[in-house]
Amino acid sequence: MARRSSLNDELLLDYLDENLDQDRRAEVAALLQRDPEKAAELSALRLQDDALRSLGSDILAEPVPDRLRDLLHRRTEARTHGPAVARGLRRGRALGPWVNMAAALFIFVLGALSGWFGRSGLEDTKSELQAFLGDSASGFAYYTSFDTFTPEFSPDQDDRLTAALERLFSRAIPRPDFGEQGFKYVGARLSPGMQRRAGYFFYEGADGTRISVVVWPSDGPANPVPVAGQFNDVSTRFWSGHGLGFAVMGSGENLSLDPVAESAARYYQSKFAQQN
Amino acid sequence: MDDVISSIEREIPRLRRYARYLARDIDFADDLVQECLVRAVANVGNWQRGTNMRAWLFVILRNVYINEIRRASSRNHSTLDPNHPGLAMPGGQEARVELREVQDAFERLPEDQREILMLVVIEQLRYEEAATVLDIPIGTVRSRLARARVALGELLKIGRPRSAKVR
Repeated sequence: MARRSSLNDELLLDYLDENLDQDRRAEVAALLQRDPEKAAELSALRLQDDALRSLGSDILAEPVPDRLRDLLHRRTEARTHGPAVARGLRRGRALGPWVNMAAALFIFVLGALSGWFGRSGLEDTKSELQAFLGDSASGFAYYTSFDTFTPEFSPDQDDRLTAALERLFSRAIPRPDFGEQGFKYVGARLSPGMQRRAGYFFYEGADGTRISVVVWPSDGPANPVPVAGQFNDVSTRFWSGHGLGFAVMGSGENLSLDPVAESAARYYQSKFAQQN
Repeated sequence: MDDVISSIEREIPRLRRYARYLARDIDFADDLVQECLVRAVANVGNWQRGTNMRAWLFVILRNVYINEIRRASSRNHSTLDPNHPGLAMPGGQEARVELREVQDAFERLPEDQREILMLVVIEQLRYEEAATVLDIPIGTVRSRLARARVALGELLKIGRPRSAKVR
């Protein structure tokens, strides 16, 4: 009489997907030897899986586009050396004085923030903050480079934005108004980010100049006075307090970012002081 | 750090394949991979050595894709467009009838079944890694995978487990 198999479908699939430890795998292998029907099922499934794995195999064989490799190496250099230095390195030429100055200025500015890099839940190290602000500046440059700015949340979607911000930050995050400074709000984007969640509010002046306010969680010591930084063509002022980091970003020869940053800093100080 | 970046670079072809599966459009797929790489380098300190780099990158890529389709509803990935290659047969070779049938059957599966086969069978993620990518329980990975194989087998009439008794 044939021995009754204790191989159920779930165990068979675990065996197929190598989801068993060595001992259990050996047990199943022995059971399969005694159950030709199950063995045949396994073979059929293996054939099916092998056929599936051939799908898209030509994509694996395609040469990786240069833009992807270049981007990876450029971003890695920026993370290691700072974005301005990376740009110089990428071009394969001796670093011009402005590049050194820009990188040195930013590093100097960050170094002046004693206590900014205190221990936090997000491990606010200088390099990580620099990388984050560099990425934000790159994103700002990209999204504001289009003639028509297309936000993730348009100005008429404040309710939806409010709910999304609350979900992302686990607290209410208001956005400032820069009407006095001549900028109107044109929309927002959110970044759920593996390490840094962030909200980005975008504004536009009558002459088309665009600026952005960036907000992210930061539980290091408060640094309430905006500090200047520069990422290539993007100027920034950044500060922290109330468990958040803030930055105002913009570019343009005629842009004066300090009044905007000071207004934003006062706004958030006022808003969160009310909540405390 | 160099070894981590090298690990990321080695996964680019598979990222492109998964992105192509998600996006169907070749340029859009590479845009997704590009954004994935940006975020990966920015957050590389968050990757734990010894864990599966591919699975970590797939989580990022899928999140990038979901964010993009929310913003651009014109890129509706759930619409099967026969003009887009998606996961096409390997080019440059005479496609055997059996493999063409596999492609056709795969495309006819429900989206959730196609994706689970994509991650576990094609990209060879472990169940728990696929669960993380899809943000679903491991039990759901197992049951969905079992149903997908049954469904594919019925479409192909190649293999057919006796039952789909899964939780």
